[in-house]
Amino acid sequence: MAAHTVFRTVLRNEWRLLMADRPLRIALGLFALLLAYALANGVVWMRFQERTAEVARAGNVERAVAIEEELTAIENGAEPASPFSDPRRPNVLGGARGRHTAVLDPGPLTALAVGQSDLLPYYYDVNIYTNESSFHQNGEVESPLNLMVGRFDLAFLVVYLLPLLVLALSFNVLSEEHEQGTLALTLSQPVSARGVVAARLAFRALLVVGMVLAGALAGTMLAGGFGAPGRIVLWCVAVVTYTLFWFVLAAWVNSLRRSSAWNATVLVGAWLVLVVVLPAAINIAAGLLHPLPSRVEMITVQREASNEAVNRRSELLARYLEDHPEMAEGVVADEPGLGALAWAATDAVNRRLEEVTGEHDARRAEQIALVRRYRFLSPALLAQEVLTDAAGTGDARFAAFQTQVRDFAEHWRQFFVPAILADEQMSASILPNTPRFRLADETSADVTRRAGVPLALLGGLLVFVSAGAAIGLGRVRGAD
Amino acid sequence: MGQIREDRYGVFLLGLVVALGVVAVLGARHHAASEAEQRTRYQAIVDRQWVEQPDRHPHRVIHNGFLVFREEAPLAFFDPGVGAWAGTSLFLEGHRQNAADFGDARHATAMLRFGRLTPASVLSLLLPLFVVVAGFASVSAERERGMLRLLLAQGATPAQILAGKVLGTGAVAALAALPIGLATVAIAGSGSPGPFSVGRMAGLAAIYTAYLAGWVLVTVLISSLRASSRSTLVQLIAVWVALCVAAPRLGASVAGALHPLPSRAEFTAQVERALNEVGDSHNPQDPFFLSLRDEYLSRYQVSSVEELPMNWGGVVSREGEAISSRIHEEHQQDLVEGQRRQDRVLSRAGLLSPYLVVRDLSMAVAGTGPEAMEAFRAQAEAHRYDLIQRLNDLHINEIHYENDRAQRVSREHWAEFPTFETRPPPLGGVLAARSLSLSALALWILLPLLGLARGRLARVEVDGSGS
Repeated sequence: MAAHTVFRTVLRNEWRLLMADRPLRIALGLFALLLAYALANGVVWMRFQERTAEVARAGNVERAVAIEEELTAIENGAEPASPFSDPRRPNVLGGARGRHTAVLDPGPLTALAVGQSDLLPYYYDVNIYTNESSFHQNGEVESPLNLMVGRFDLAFLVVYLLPLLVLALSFNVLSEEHEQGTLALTLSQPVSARGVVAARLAFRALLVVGMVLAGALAGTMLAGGFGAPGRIVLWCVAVVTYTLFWFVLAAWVNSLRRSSAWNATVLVGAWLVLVVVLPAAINIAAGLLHPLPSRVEMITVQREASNEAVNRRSELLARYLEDHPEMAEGVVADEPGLGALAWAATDAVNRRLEEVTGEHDARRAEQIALVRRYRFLSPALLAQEVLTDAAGTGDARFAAFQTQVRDFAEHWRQFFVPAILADEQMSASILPNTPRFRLADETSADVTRRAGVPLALLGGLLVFVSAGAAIGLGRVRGAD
Repeated sequence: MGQIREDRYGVFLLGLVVALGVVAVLGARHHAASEAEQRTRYQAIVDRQWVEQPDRHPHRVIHNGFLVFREEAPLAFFDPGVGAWAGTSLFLEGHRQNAADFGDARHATAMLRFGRLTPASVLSLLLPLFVVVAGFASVSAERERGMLRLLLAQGATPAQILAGKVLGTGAVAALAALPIGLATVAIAGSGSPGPFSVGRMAGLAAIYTAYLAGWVLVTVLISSLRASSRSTLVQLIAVWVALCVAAPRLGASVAGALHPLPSRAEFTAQVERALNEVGDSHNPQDPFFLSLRDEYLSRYQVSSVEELPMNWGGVVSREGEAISSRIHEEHQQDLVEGQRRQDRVLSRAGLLSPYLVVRDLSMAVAGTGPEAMEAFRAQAEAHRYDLIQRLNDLHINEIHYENDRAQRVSREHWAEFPTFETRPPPLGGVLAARSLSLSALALWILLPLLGLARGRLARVEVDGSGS
């Protein structure tokens, strides 16, 4: 019998067997239902974020229009509505009233992996007072319980539940034959145990992977199309590698020739350790070895610095002008205005905050480095990282966004601060020149480079279990 | 019991669960202690900064603001609840209600989404799985080996056999749970075991005992109903995955879909719009405040605000604060109501998943649930309002209207202000609001008991003699 005919026979037989097994049919059906629900959930979330981004952008336009109207009215002789929000003052126009909201659009595959996008801010209000502490505000109004639990999205389904479906489909792939006494018969044919297991698992893997990938593609189509093919490919490769890891692991355990119950216990134990326990344990270890200094320190430092700064404003202003000649443009009034003095104090507080943040970020980097060092222990961690990164909802994209917002805030200050120092008034004519935030989003190449490492590690794990399974199955003979 | 002792894998698992539990207790304790220490220290610094303010104009103090920290409940190390996901500090200032900032989770890595290993999560998530592995074969293996028939022939009643299996599996579960419980008690006791902790620890012990007892009963029940150990195990693991892994996320997402909350941007825009409608207390030409002025002028029979017996600027500030606080609070209450509706969906879902029930009860009793976070917010807001209005009263009574800005009030006033303290919601009230969860927990024990009582005679005898 030619190899491919055997393969086809096994496949046809597998389909019949699978359809005859009621619990498995139920499990597959349930998984399909959950898949549909997870997708719907992800699409709804992505739409919500798109709407929010729209609201934020509309706010920018609305504020700009209101300010322009008032400035024009003032130029035509009207009084400002209130001296505290007179848009001619640069610290009002560049302050909270004229603020610009910098927005990060949802990642292209947010519908597939919500990732960190429900936790990390995707829009910041930027004005001249934006400083490090601004990045800790503006949290969403989400119920904390929902944040803790996380969203029921496709990535969750893949990382947590798919391995269990795979294990249910394959924990007895060989042991069942053994228990029913059909193994010797099968192996008396011109086939190897390796071939039989490979054929049986290949069929099941095709079924599972096909379901998930079809779902993922459907979700992508619903949520905005295939604008990011690189990300989609990365996503699919990660799903396939992760799924195969669990199938092959099951094959390996089967090759040890124990009972089906033993296989099931060991495989569930492996799932528990790799998906639940190890990530949680690495979390604990990271927290114990590199504890993050409490962020409450930061806000206290800010308070202390601002109390102190207010009393030394003139001195601070002199120093500021020495350090930032570009801001002064040589037109500083001999008698510094209140605005200039206040700005000097604000700037001193910001510098102090940056010092504290720098220390915090260094400690956090150590913690992340530790997590990275040990992530290869858990395929679930690796898969989660690739899936969220490919979706554009991982930590890295949000960090890049924050960095760009920080730069934008600096840009914004450079626009308004010289006028504050020179005690100038603003007019409607400068409005078209005010800075606008433009995101330089990561490219597919950036994502592939970053996600390449965890994906390669995941591939390494797959190779490792494959070698184990191949050797183990090679030893299986029908006679014992 | 015997089965476990013979089984090296079982012993390994028992060791693993116990080790994880103890590591979780120690790790959580370490984290909670340093966090609590920091918050206490910073609250002391902030309190001192407040008292040490120089002579100041009250309105400047209003804008300067004040900072309060959420004190963690003493049992937060056992079950941190939603603490990391809610803000830890709140900046209190005039004219606005800030949201709590600095939720720890935002500074952690994405790993945190895999869940934290806490004593509570070991007990509620991992121990049930351990019970399943320890007890899945309790009846079905006896049947497979033909021992069931033998036992029945020797005169043991099915009830006795099942009771024995329940006790045996329960003993193994207790063996795994006790070290965690003892470590928790030891650590909570080593601090200052106030009346807060003792009653609550007893409550936690009762909740987790009931929850794990339910798992023992369900495990033995399914083991007695299924023909083979293999299908018992598969079925029990499916039950565990459905109840402990899938249900929490499904529940939360269904609750979120049924009662959606606005985004922060939408919420802020709504509040701003509502505030702009009533008036701006910083704008002397605002129509609302103009009519308020006329009312004061006619009440005191004077013709200008300078002649009023109090500082008009302070009055405007006080009225403005009252209005903006009311509007903020109304919107905030809408949010809280939305979150409560979501919570109610989850409590109803608790009838389907005991894990949701035990998580909810555990957080509530430990004082780390959503309502504790909301209590902090409400207490901080009450404190803020009181603080600001006291300052406005100082402005009204101690500062003259003429040359208002140049005046100061004595620094001695600052020491007269009350300090802030987090008061966790009382245990009685918290439990009274959870009658549904408590009944769900009772059902979780009663239903499998009923199943064991009804099914045992027929099933055990038929299968015992038949297979």
